[in-house]
Amino acid sequence: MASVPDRLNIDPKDRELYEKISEEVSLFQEKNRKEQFLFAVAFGFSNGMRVPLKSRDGFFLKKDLKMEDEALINAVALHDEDDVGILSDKASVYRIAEEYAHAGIKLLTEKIASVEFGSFWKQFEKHMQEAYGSLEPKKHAEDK
Amino acid sequence: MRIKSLKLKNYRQFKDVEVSLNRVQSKKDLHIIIGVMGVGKSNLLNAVNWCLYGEEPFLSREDSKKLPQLNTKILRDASQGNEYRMTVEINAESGGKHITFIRDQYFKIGKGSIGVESTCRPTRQVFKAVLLDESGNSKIFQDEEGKKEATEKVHLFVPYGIKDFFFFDGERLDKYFREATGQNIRNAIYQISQVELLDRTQTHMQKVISDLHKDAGKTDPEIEKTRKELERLEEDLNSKLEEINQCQSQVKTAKAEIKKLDDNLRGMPEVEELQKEKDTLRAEYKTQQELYQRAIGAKQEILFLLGIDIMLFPAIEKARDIIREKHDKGEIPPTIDKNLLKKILMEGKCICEREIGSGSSEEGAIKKLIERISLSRDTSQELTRMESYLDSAKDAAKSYLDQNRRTTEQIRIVEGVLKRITDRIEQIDKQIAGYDMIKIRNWANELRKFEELLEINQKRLGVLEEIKINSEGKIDELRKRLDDEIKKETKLADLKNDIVFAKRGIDVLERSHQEIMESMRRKIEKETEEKFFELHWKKETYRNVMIKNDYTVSPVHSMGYDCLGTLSGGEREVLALSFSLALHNISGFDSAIIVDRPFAMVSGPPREFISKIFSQISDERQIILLLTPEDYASDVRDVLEDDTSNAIRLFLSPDEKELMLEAY
Repeated sequence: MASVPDRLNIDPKDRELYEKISEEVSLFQEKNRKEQFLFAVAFGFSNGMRVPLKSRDGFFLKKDLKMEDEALINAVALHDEDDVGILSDKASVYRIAEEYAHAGIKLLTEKIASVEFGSFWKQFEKHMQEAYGSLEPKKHAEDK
Repeated sequence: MRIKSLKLKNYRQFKDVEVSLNRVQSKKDLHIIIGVMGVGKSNLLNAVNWCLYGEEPFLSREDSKKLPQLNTKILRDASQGNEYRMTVEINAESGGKHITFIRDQYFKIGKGSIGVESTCRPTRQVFKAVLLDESGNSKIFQDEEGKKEATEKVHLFVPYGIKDFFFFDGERLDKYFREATGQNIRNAIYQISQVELLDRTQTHMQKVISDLHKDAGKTDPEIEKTRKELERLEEDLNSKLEEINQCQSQVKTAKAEIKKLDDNLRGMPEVEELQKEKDTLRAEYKTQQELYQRAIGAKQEILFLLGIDIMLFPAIEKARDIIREKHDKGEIPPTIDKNLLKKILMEGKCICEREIGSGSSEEGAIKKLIERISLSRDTSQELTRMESYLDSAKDAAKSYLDQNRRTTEQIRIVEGVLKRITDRIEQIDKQIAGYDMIKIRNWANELRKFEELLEINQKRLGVLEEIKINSEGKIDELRKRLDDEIKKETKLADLKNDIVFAKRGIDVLERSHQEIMESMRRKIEKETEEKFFELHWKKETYRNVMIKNDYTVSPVHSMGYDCLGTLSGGEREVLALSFSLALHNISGFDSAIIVDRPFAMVSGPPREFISKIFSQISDERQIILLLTPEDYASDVRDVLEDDTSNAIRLFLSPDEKELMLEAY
C-alpha cells in the first residue's frame, strides 16, 4: 500500500486567490484552510473542472481532515476513477481533490469578481437552487 | 403735544439730521418715514423715547445694543481725551405753547486705539425743557440732582406710565395687551385718574393715627403694650403683603409667558417626545440590525456548508451506489483479507507456520481465492466507514431547502421590522423638518420652567393669603382692644376723637380712590369700545369691549366669549389704537402717536382698513408712521399719499455710518 501524504497541497499561486476571496467574502475569513479548500473542491467539481497543479505547496495537514471530510474527498476520487482501488492510494485521492480545488478557487475568484460587491451569496444561492433542483428527481425517487 | 421737528446730532446713525414734521395746510397731520429693513427707522422711535425718558426700548437687534450711542463716524475720527456731545431735540407744541426738550449726552474718548465700546465712555447728561409762552417769553427747566423740573414737564404731556400707548412698535403688538396681563393698563388708568394725591393723603392719615396711638401709649403701659403688639403685627402684615404682591406679579408674569410660549408652540411638533421616540427607534434599529446580520450570517453558513454537499452530490451518489453494489455482491464486509493472502503466497508460509510449496495444491487454492476477492480489507473498511458519512452528507443536502427557507423567513421578518423603524424615523424627520429645533426645544424648556414657577408661586400665594387673613383678624382684634383701652381712659377723650376722625377720613379716601378708578375704568372702557366699533371693519363680529377687573382689555365676541387671543394682527392693532385714543380723549394728553411698522403683523385687506384708520385719526392728532417700502406698497400708499403732510425717505450714506433724509 502506498504511503499516505501528511498534507494537502495547493498551487503556490492559489494562495493569493484564497486570501483575496477572504477579503471580499467575509464568511471565508471565518473559515479555516481545510474548509476553504473543501469549498473550492466542491466548486471545481460542480463546474466539472479539474486542473493539474504546476507545483505544490502545503496548505493544511491531513490530520485536520475529519472522517466526513475524507468521505467526501474519497467520493470525488471514486466518481472520477470509477475504481474502488483508488482508495488504497491516498496520494492519488488527494491529488484529484487538489486538482479540483485548483480549478475551483480560480473559478470562484472569477465569479466573485464578476458580481457586484457583497452580492456573491445571492448569486450563489441562485446557483444552489438550480443545483438542488437538478437533484430533485433522484431525491424523490429515493424518498419513494 | 404734536412734534414739529426732531433734531438728532451724533445720535447712533444720525450724524446731523433734522426731521421736520410741520403740517401742510391742505393735508392731514400725517407723516410717513420710509426706510428699508435694518436701516435704522426704529432708532427714530428710540430717539424720541431717549430724549423724553432717557431710555431706548426699541433696540431690537443684538448688534444695535452692543454699538455705542455716539455716532460711529464721529467715534472713528475722534481724538483721544476729547469730549463729544450727542443731542436729541424735540420741538413740540401744545395748546398754543411751544416747548423744546433737549437731552445731551457727553462722551469721553478713552486712551488707546479707538475701538467701539471700550474707548467711548458716557460722562454727564443734561436734560432741559424750554417753554415758550404765548407772549414769546421763554423759561428753561433743567433736571438736577433731586429736582427733575424738565422731566416733570414731560409728564405733563405724556406721563412715563402711559408712553407705551403713544409710541409703539407694530412688530411687538402681541405684547401690547398681554405681556403684563393688565398691569400696564392699570398703571395707565391710575396715572390718568390722578388718584395719587388721595393715596398720599391716606398714607399721611395712617401715620397720624399711628402717632396718636403712640401718644396714648405714653399715658398707659397697657395701651402701649397693645399698640406695640399692633405695630409689630402691622409690620408683619405689610411684609407679607409685599411678598403677596411679588408672588402675584410672578404668577402674572408666568401666566403671560406660558400663554406666549403656548402660542409659539401651538402647531409645533412635540419635539422632545419625537426626539425620545427617535432615540428609542435608533436603539431598536441597532438591535434589529444585529439580529439581521446574525440571520444573514446563519444563511451564508448554510449556503457554505450545505453548498459543499449539494455541489458534491453527484460524487456522493456515485460513491454510495458503488458501496451498495459491493454490499450486494457480498464483498463488504470482507471475509478474508486479500492482502494477507498475497503475503502468504509471497512468503510461502501459512499463518500456522506450515510451508506452502511452489505448485502445491494449497498454492493453487490460495491463487483461486485471491482472484475471487476483489477488495482489500483496508479498502473495504474505508468504504464501510464512508457509508454513514455519505448518508449524512446526502441528508444534509436534502435538508437545504427547509433550512434555507427558515433562515430566509427570519431575515424577511427582521427586514420588515427594520423597514417599519426606518419609515417611522423618516416620518418623524419629516414632521420636524423645517422647524428651528433649538428654538422649539428652548421654548419647551422655558414653558416647563414657567409652569414650575407658576405652581410654586400659586402654592406660596395660597399660604400667604391664609397668613394674611389670620393676621388681619388679629390686627382687627388688637385695634378694637386698643380702641377700647383708649375709650376707657377718660383723659384721652380728645385723642380718641382725633383717631375716630382720622379713621373716617381714611375710609372716605379709600372709597374715593376706588370710585375714581372704577369710574375712570368704565369711561375708558366705553371710549375704547366706541373707538373700536368706529374703526373696526367687522362690526357684527363683536358684542362689546371690556376692561376686566384685572385690567385686561378684550373684545367680547357676539357669541359671548372673550376673544383677545383669537384677534388677528390687524384687529389687535385696531384695539391698541382704540385704547390709545380712549386714553387721549379721557386724559387730555394729546401726544402724537408714533408707530413703528404698523403693518408688520397685518396682511391683506386689513392693511387698507388700518391705513384709512390712521388717516381718519390724523384729522384730530399727529400720526407718525415708520414704514418699510414693502409696508408702503400701493394698497397703503393709495390711501395715505394724498393725506400725508410729509413723506420722508431714510437712507444710509455710502460708508454706512450715517443716515440721511430726503423727500420720498
